[in-house]
Parts: sequence; C-alpha cells; structure tokens
Amino acid sequence: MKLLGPALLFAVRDIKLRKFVSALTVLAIASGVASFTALRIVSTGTQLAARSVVSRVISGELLVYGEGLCDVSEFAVEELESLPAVSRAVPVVLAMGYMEGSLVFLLGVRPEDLDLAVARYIEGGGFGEDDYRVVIVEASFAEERGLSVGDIVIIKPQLGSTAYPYRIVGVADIGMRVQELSAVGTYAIVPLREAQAMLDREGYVTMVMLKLEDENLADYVREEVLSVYPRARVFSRREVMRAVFQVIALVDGLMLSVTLIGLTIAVFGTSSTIMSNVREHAREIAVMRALGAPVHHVAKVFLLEAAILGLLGGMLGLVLGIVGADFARKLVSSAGLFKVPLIIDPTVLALAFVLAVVSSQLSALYPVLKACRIKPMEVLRNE
Amino acid sequence: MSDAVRLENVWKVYGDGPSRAVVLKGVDLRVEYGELVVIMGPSGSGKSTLLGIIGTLDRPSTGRVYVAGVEVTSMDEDELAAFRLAHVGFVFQDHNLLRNFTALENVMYPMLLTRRYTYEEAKEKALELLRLVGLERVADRFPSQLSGGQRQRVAIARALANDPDIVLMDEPTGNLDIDSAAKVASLVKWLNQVYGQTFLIVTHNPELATLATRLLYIRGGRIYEKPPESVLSKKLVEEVRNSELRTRIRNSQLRLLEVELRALRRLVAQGRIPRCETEARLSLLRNRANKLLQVAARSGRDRLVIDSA
Repeated sequence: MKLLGPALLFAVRDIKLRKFVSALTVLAIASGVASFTALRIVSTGTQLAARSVVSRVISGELLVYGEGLCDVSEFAVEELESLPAVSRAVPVVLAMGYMEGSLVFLLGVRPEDLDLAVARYIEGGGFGEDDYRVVIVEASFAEERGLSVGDIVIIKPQLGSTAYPYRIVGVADIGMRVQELSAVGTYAIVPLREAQAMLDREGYVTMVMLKLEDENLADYVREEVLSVYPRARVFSRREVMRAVFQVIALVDGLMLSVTLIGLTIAVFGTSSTIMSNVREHAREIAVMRALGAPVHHVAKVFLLEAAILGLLGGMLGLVLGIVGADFARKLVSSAGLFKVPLIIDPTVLALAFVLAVVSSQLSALYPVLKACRIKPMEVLRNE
Repeated sequence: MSDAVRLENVWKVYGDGPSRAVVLKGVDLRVEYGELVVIMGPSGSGKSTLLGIIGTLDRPSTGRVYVAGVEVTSMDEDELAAFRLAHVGFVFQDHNLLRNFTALENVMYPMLLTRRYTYEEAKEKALELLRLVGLERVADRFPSQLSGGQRQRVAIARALANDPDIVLMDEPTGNLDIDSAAKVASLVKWLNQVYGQTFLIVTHNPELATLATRLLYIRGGRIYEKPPESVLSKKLVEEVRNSELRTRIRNSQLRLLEVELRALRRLVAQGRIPRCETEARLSLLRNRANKLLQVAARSGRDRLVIDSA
C-alpha cells in the first residue's frame, strides 16, 4: 500500500459506499460491451455460416438463369456442358408448393444430380429414373411431422389446384438450399420431370448450375455463356458471396452504430458517476491536497475508480455478450435461417475488454481534470 | 531558538476594482519552535487566510513567508504539496477526515504519501499516534462511527504523522461540545508541553486563549500583540453619530406615523374601532411622536405637529 495503495483503497471503498450508483454504471458499461461482444460473435458466426451456405447452395461456380422464372430450355444444358472449362451442367427447377399444408420449396433435380442436392441421408435414399411421385423430405420437417420413409405426403403446387400424393423415399439434410440466403422454409426434392409438370413447364428449368474445371475461369466461362445466350443472367459464386457479405457488412455496420450509441451512453453514465464522486469528494480532495497529496495522486484515485467500474462492466459485459450471442444464434437457427456457429474469438473478447477500460478512462478524464483543479484553500475556506 | 514560521510584510488582496478586498495588511509574524501561539479574531478578520498562507495553501499578494526556515513564496504547486507533506500538519474546524478510510488509515495516509515508510511501519506509527491521542481502540472505525471529539483527535494524530515543524489549527473546537472541546484542548496543551510540538491556532473562542504560550489578535487584516480597540463598538459609535443616517430614519418614522394617524382617523370616523382601542393606539402614537420631538429638539431641526384624533 504505497502511493497506489491508498488511491486504490479509496476508490474501492467509494464504489462500495455507493453501491447503487456504481452498479448502475457497471450495468451501463456492461450493456455497451455486451452488445459489442454479442454483435461481433454473431457476425463472425454469420459470416462463416453464410460462406458455408453459399458454397453449398452454389455447388457449381456459375448459375445461369433465363429472363423469366423457369425459361431455360433443357437443350441449353447440353450446350452449356460442352463449353470449354465446364465440367458439369446441372439443370434445376425451383418451385413453391404446399406439403402437408406447409409452404415449402420444391426442388426438381435429375436422379444423377442428387449428389449435389442432398448433403446427407438420414433415412432411405434417392430416387431413380423410373420412380414416380416420390419425394425426399428435409430431416427437420420429417421429425416435426413424425414422417418417415414409406409415408405418403400430399404436395400441391402453389399456383395449381390439384394435390398429389407423394411417397417419401428419403429423409435427408438438404445441401442445395437455393433460397436459404433470403427465405425461411423447408425443402423437398422431387424428380426434375415432376417439378416441370407441376409448373406446366416441360422441357424448361429455372436455372443451370455449372461446375468448372477451375474456379478461376469463372469470368471466362461467363463471357462464353453470354456470347451464346446474350440475354441470360449469369452469377458466379464469388459474386453471390460478395453480395451476401456486403449485406452482412451493412447489417453489421448498422448494428455497430447502435452499439456505439450504447457505448457513448455508457461513457456519459460513467462520466456522470465520476463527476458526482468528484463533487461529493471536493472537500476530501481539498484535504488530500492540503495534507500534501500531489495532483497525480488525486487523478489516480478517480482514474482507478473509473478503471474498476470499467473492468467490472467489461467482465460482466463479456459474460452477457456471450450469453446474448448464444441466444441470438439459437433464435436465428430456430427460425430456420442460418445455423450460426458460436465462435468466441479471443481477439473480440480482448477488444471488448479494452473498449470497456478505455471508454471508462476516457469518461473519467473531464471529472479528473476538475478534481485536479480543486483549490484546497477555496474549498476549506467555505467551512 | 529558530523560527518555525516567519511572515514579513504579508499582504493579501482578493479581486480588483470595486470588488477588491484587502484581507491581510502587511502582517509580520514570528512563531518559534515549541511555541503554542493562539491568534484570536472575529469572523472576517483574516485569520483563515493567514493560516492558509502559512500552511502554503494560499499565496500572499506581496511579502515573504518562511516555514521551517524555507521561503515558500516562490515554490510551484507540486513543490508546495511536497513541502506541506513534510513540514506542516493541519487540523481543520470540521476535522475533515477522509470518510473512505478508517481512523488508522487516515493517520497512515500522510505517511504513505511520503513513500518513506513501508505499510507496516506506517501502521505501527499510526497506531502509536492513535494511542497518544487515546484512540487506539477505535483505530478500525470509520469517521462516521466516531464522535466529534474522537474525529478531531484522529485529525490531530494525522497532523502529527510526519513529525511536522508546525501544526496549524483552524477553530479546532469550533464544532465540539464542551467536554470534547476540553479533551481536544488539553491534548493540544499536553502535546505542546511534553512533546514540544509547535502549534499555531486561530480561533474566535476566548477560552482557547488559556492554552497559549503567546496570544495574538487579528483585526481587519492586522496582527496585534494586545487586544485592539473593539472594531465593532467603534463602528457602532460611528454609525449612531452619523447625522445623515439619523435624519433619514427620523423622516421615515414621521411618514410612518402620518400613515398610522390617517388610518386611525378613518376607522374612528367609520365607527369600526372600539373607543378603548382608539385610546390605546393614540397613546402609543403620542409616545412615539414625543420621542421624535425630543430628538428633533436636541438636534434643533424638524418640528412635528400631531393632530388630535
């Protein structure tokens, strides 16, 4: 307990004596740190999940769409497959429909392309060329409805009036979740022909997914596709990823702004607490100075007090942030959006902690300046 | 014996222009080591300012101040703080203990500030000082848990912590009951006689004068060896003799009497006041009028005619 000791003791006792105000200040700092921490954790997880989803969704490096909803001719598939550097062309039909009364995405693929559409079979398997009115349902939907292989489900296209019974041949995790980036929903995979029939678009598909021999040739292949089909819309996986990350960055930026407002409020809260402490202790500061305490010692007392509040707020904020991030992650997952992993990056935790301490120190600067300017004679004269 | 404190022609002026106030007017003062000097003076006489300047909390406008043989007037703030820590002890009227510290920690605090003592040494010395002032049993109590007298004795122990050349006390018994004040005063006397500690006490309490080895008086910013003529009574005589003021007051009295008489006449005319009360009021007004007439007659001016109601 040398010169730092008395200052620390004074600061700690002061916090104890002013429990309620100190607790409110710690909570204000904690809320700022918690929102920052939670946001960074969720953001990191979201980016990773988005990257994974985009990779899964766009199994090929290029997606070729027509001008309308389902107007890419099947003849184009062979032609696209014959383009240089294209290793595989996969026709896909995407339609909306109702399965057991629930709105679902119906994905029409060829039997030979099921390896791209299904990530993992939980039960049963795929369908063949000769199978008719068969469906592969998503595992979560099957579990929710108590469905299993062999059960019959009723599927009705969104724009049609006729419903058809389909036999479940597989329960699986769907890999090709084309709409995952923008929509909540369940997927069901049906044979390509049946999807076309539902839309009354025999011979046409929604898009063609192109697998390339080398991903770096995506721009070249795009030019080739556009030279053959000038009115086609061609998207590369990289472009989609960039667009997705731009959206995530935008949302991140907005959330960060809100967090910064929270942190600013925390800074003002801490500043107010320290300022009121300085006012309340004006006489004691004068006494300290009269006894011979140097100015830096007085500054140390209140900087330490702010630092302790910052440390407590930082620690509480980290815990609340991680809990909040986990809650947000589960909320997102339960809504059927991304399955966001909980990635706790030590850098984020350190940054949040530093932010708490630095902001508390910044908030104490003005009050400390006021404390250092107290003239002992002026205060003590007022006795 | 050398001087613990020496002031040479110290002036202190606050403000300038119309708000200029000269608080100390060329004060010369010497306090030798081992003395217990009591400076008595009424409020506003400049005694706290004098104590602040000796304690290096304030600077004189002109003049020189020596404490423990060192001229302190040219030191900067940090040097002054370090100087106070080593050479000056303070006891304030309102004890001014640090409320976040216990009695023991309050006494340890100045020692720890010097960095000369380890924590254990500071604690040992602080306990001994508390024992000296008879408070070792309450060492772990906070100021809020102590009586006024106990707080003031802790403040004395704190003032002695760094073996100061001089202990400055500002109204040390000002906020104490008579028993506590007696304990504090006897402790100060004992510390001076047995311990040899030099004290300079400023107060307006004449009872503390009995402690002094030397008694001084302060009036209107000047130090006197003997009680100066009472400034208050002198002022009073001047005010009473002020003819302009007397005339102003008398004229006001006359106007007030006229208003009273007018109101009384109206009430009688309207029959709204009983006769006995009319008589009583008239009697009162007549007395006041006669008093004014006597004063006016003495001064040879102003005649007063009172209508009979």
